[in-house]
Amino acid sequence: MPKLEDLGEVISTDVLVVGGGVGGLATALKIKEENQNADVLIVEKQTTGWAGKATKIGGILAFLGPNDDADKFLDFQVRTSGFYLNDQELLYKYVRSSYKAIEQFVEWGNRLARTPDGKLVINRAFWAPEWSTTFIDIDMMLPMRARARKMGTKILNKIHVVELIKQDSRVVGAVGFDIVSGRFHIFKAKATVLANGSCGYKVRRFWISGTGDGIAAAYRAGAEMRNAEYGNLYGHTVFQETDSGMVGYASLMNASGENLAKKYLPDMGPAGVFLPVSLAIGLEKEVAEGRGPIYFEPPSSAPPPGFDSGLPKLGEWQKRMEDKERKYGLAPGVKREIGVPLHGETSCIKVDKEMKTSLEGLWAIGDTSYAGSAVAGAVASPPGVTPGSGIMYAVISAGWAAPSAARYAAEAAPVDISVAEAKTLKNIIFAPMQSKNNLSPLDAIAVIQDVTAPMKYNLRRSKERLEEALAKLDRLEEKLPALQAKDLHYLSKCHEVKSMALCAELTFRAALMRSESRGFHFREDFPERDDKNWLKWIILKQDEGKMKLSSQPIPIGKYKIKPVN
Amino acid sequence: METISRSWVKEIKIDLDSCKGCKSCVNACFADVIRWDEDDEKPIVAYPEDCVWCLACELACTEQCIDVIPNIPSPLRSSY
Repeated sequence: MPKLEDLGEVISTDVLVVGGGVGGLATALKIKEENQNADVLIVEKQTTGWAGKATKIGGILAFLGPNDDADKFLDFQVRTSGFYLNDQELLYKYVRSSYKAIEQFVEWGNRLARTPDGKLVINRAFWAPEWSTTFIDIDMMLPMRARARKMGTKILNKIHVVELIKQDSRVVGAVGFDIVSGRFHIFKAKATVLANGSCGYKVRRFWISGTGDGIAAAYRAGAEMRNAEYGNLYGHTVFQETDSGMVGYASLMNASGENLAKKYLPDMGPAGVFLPVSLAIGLEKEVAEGRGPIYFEPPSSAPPPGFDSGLPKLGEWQKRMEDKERKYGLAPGVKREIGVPLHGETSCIKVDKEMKTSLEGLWAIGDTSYAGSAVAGAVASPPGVTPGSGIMYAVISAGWAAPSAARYAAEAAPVDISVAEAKTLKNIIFAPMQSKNNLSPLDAIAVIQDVTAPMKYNLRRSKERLEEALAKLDRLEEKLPALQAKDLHYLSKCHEVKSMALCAELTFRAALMRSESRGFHFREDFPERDDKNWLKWIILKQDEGKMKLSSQPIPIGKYKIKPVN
Repeated sequence: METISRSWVKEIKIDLDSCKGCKSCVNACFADVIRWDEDDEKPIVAYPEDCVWCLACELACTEQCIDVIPNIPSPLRSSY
């Protein structure tokens, strides 16, 4: 009788954490703090402690200060950013947890920005009331990793987890492969926590690791998705030559020197740092009508972009970046054209207040469930269009998932994995290595970007164009069995392609269903917000191989903040 | 087989004479660009096409023997 061990490496654990970025590490730490004896394994596609997006650009943490008013922030967030699609109870819980998370970083041995007399640097955010930011050093995950290891967390790197495995309706682990040795891995887990990020479609430089692998695996296993239409975050990048940085959109000018914020955002108050939808569409219009390119031209009295956190590693990294840009970039005096690239941030795994998905045995934290938790509402990143929320949401949601997953694992029945199912999955996973066809994953990525990146499909939406985008994705879907991998690195890319194509389809199908405009979802054919019909979340789920959409009314009656009629 | 339109970097230079073989650069890379050569016990730039010059390898290198040269203007995918 064939055994699982004949197929590859079999590893059993109480809790499997997929993803070794800041969220995965925080999950492991919190589980160990809850139950020191819990067996916790982190499995990461690259290297735990360096993986993910947290250590790329920034190091900003946004939070509600201990003396600030949560209700005022909530009111602003729900009315001007989340547009009532928030789970307001969860948002309140998030906001109230945010300062504790800052203190938690200190306990974990992280360096935070300090004043000369040792106090935490707290900068008031200009983009949202009652909101503050501080900085954490860019090597933040290393002390967390050291602490997690010391507490007995096991870590396996360079393993791409591709699929979840179920026993009846319960998730009992996952399968994947070593991207260096090619060894197939079967993980038997009483509880599984997805912490492997959102989908950014590999458009922006520092977001390339977000390929939606966890989201796709959860969807294929039958988990429900929510707010997938809000996987369409766009930002403007100041130095187009390097795709780094993002500053105030108040100084964006067309080729004739006309201020575009004044033109497209008259009478607009604070609206976040990310580009507001109406201005983004305005920029597209300016270029289409021949008034481009768009430049960033701050007044000469404005301070130079950037900041000094006083943190050693972050400072060193910023200096290196600046030196490269000076040495290899455009000459001083050359006007800096801006781009409006897609961040994406499809993060739609539906979770409850403990970050439990709709599947037994499966949790999803951080960027896998940003939108799906509904904490942010009608926008891709919580708690609204504000920087500094990525690391914070990862760590806070890890703090919610960890005790829940640890308690479940302590009481859960042993796990059994079918050899036949594991064998089938192994064959599917390695198929691109044997493929005689010639669809390159890079060509497939280009097609996915042709659909997800243009604003005409993903920001300035309409029924006609969404259907056009979906038709392109359908044609790609038909070709995916022809994906060919020349080696294991490219095999990993083939599976990233499948994840990204699925995330794009989830986004576009949900966008097609939502026949109104709300937050980052703008429909030219339904330009108004429709509170009568659309105070609803769109739920997507795989049903007999088809993507099935339904809606769930938002319990606005029990929430504090209601639309003003 | 692979068609590479444009890469974010022009070149990744590793001075192998100065390299002490600590593997920090291999671990720091979040894009699987740098692999480990088991025979020579030195890093190899295996997939430069995936480098986005995050500079984590340069920052992690204890001997300062890595120099990543970016490709500017960048191949940023337009949204228009």
